[in-house]
Amino acid sequence: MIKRSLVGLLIAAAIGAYPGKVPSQKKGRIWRIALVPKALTGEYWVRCRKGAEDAARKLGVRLIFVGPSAETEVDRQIDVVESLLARGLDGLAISPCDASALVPTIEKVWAKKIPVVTVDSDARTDKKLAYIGTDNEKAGALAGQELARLIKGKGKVLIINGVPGAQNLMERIRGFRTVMKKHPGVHLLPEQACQSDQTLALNITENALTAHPDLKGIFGVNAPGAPGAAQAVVSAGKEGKVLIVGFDAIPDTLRFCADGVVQAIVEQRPYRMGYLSVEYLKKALEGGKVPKRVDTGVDIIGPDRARKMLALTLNNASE
Amino acid sequence: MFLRRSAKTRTTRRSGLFLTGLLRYLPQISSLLGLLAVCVGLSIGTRIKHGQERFLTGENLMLVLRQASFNAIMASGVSVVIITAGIDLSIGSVWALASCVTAHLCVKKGWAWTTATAGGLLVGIGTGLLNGAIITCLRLPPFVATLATMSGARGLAEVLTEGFQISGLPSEMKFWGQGQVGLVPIPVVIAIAVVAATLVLLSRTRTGRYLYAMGGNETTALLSGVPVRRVKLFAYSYCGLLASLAGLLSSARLGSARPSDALGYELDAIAASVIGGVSLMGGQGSVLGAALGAVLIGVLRNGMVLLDVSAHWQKVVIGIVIVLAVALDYFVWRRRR
Repeated sequence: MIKRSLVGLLIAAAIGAYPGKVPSQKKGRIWRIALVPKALTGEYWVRCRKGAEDAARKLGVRLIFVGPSAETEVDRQIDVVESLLARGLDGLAISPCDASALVPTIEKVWAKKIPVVTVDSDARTDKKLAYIGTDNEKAGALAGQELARLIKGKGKVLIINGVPGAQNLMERIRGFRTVMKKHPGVHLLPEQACQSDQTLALNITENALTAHPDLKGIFGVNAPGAPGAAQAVVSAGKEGKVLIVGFDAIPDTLRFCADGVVQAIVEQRPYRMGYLSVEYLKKALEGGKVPKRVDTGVDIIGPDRARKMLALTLNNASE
Repeated sequence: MFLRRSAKTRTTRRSGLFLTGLLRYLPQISSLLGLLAVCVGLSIGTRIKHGQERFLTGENLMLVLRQASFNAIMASGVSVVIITAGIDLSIGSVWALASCVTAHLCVKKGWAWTTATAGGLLVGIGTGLLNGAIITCLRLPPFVATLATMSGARGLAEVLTEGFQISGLPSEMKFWGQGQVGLVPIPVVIAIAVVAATLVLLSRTRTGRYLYAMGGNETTALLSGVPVRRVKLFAYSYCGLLASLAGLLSSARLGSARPSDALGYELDAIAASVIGGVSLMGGQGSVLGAALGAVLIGVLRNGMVLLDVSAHWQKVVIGIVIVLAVALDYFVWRRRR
C-alpha cells in the first residue's frame, strides 16, 4: 500500500516538475516520454539515463525517468507503468524486469495508442514499435570467440552467471556455449552464479581454483563476475595463466584489464540505448518510421583501450 | 527469572552433573559436530571427485576461513543484539554505507585512508545508535526500527555514489583485506580478535550479564536495576560498529565499494548466529556458536563449488541446515523450561 502510493507520489513529483501545456497539433508539441529502467541505480542505468536525457535535451522532449529500485521488483515496475498511464504520457520506453510478467501492462499501454519500445531487455509481445538493445546471444558468442582464441581452444572454462533466470544473461550463455561447443578441447565446468555480487564472484573463483588448479578460462556473464574472478586470480598468483573475459567496463574491471588480469571486456552501449529510445519514440509520434529491431552493438575492450579509458576517467575525477 | 536460571547453572556446575552441563552447551557442541561431519564428508567427496584431497589442505582451509571471517564479524555483533531478544536487519546496509562513505572520502575527497576508515566506522556506530534510539525512545519493535534503517542506509549509499562503483582504494588499505600475517589472512586474525572480545564482553563483564538478563526477561531486568536503555543503545551500536568493520575489510579485499554490496548479508549473519545456537527468543547463546555457524556456512559454500555442485543447491542446503539448527535450539529451550 505504502509502496504503491509512494510510487504514485514520486511520479506525480516527476511529472509535476515539468508542467506542460497540451498543444493540439502534432508537430512542435512537447512530447512526454517515459523511460522505465529495470532499476534506478547501478552504473549501467545511470549511463542509460544520461543518454536519454541528452536526447531529450537535444530533441526538446520532456523525459520522465522512473522505475523500481531493484531489478527483482517486477510488481513495482508494473505499478510504475500504471501510474504513468493514469497521469498521461505520449510514449513509453521500458526495460522489462521480466520478459512475460510485463506483457499485459505493455499491451494495455499499446491499446491506448501510446507507442512503446523495449530497451536493453525484450518483452514477449509484438505490441511494440521496436526493441533497442544488445543482441545478447551475439554478444555472448563474441565473448566465447575471444576466450576460445585466448586459451587456444583447450582447457577448463568456468562460467560465472549473475542472477539465474535473467533473460539477457541466459541468451549470452547460450551464445557462449554454442561457440565453445565448436572447440572439443574445451571442458565447460558446471555453471556458477554470483547473484550479481562481486564478493560472491571472488569466493566462487577462489573455490573453483582450488578444485581445478588447471582452470584455463573464466567468463563473467555480467558486470560483477570478471572483477571478482580477477581478484581471486591475483591472490592465487595466477595472472596470465587463467584468462578472463567479462561484460561491462565498470572501474574495477577496467583496472584489472589495464593490469592484464582481465583479457577482454565486452562493453554494451546503454547510453546509446537511452538516446535511441527517446529519438525513435519522438520520430514515431511524429509519423516517422523506425526499425523493428535495433542491435546497439558491443565494443570489445582489451588492455590498451582499458588503460586509455582509465586515464580518461582519472582525469575527469581530478578536475 | 534470569537470576533463577543463572543460579541453577551455577548449582549444576558445582554438583558436576555432567549430562545437564553438557545439555547447556548442546547447540555449540552440535554445530561443532555438524561442522566436523561436513568437513569429513567434503574431504571424502573431493577425493572421489578429483582423485586427491582438495578440501583439507592448508591453503583451502585458509580460503574458507577468510571467506567466513566477514560473516563471523557481523554474526558476533548481531548475536549481542539477538541475546537481548532484539534483531538487527540493517547490518547489510550498514556494511554498504560504511564502505561507500570510506571509499568516497578516500578516493573522491582525497582523505588519508586511515581517517576515511575512521569515518566509515563512525557511520557504523552512528547507525547503530540511531537504531537503539528509535527502539528505546520511540519504542518501536527492533524488527521495524532496523527494517527502516536497512532501507535508509542503503538509500544513502546509493545517493552518495549515485549508483556507481567507487574503485581505486590505496594499497595500504587493501593490505587489510588481502594481506596475511604469516599464513593467516588478516581478516581471519581480526575476526578471531572480534570473537574473543565479544566472548569476554558477554561472559566476563557486567554489561554482558545485563545483556543476557534483558533477553531473559526485560521487565525483571528493569526492576532489578539494569539500565535497559543504555545497554540497548550499546548493543545496537556495537552491532553497527562490527557491521561497518566487516564492510571495510571486505571493500579492502575487493579494492572497491558499491552501494549494492552485502545485499542480504544480514540474513547470513542471523543464520550463522541461529545455527550456532543463539536463541531468537533472547537470553541464550554464545558468540562462539555464532562464529562456528559462520564457518559452517562458509564451508558449505566452499564445498559446493569444490564438488562442482551448481549454485542453486547451495541455498537449499543452507536452508536445511538452518531448520535443523533451529529445531534443535527450540528442543533444548523447551527441555530447559
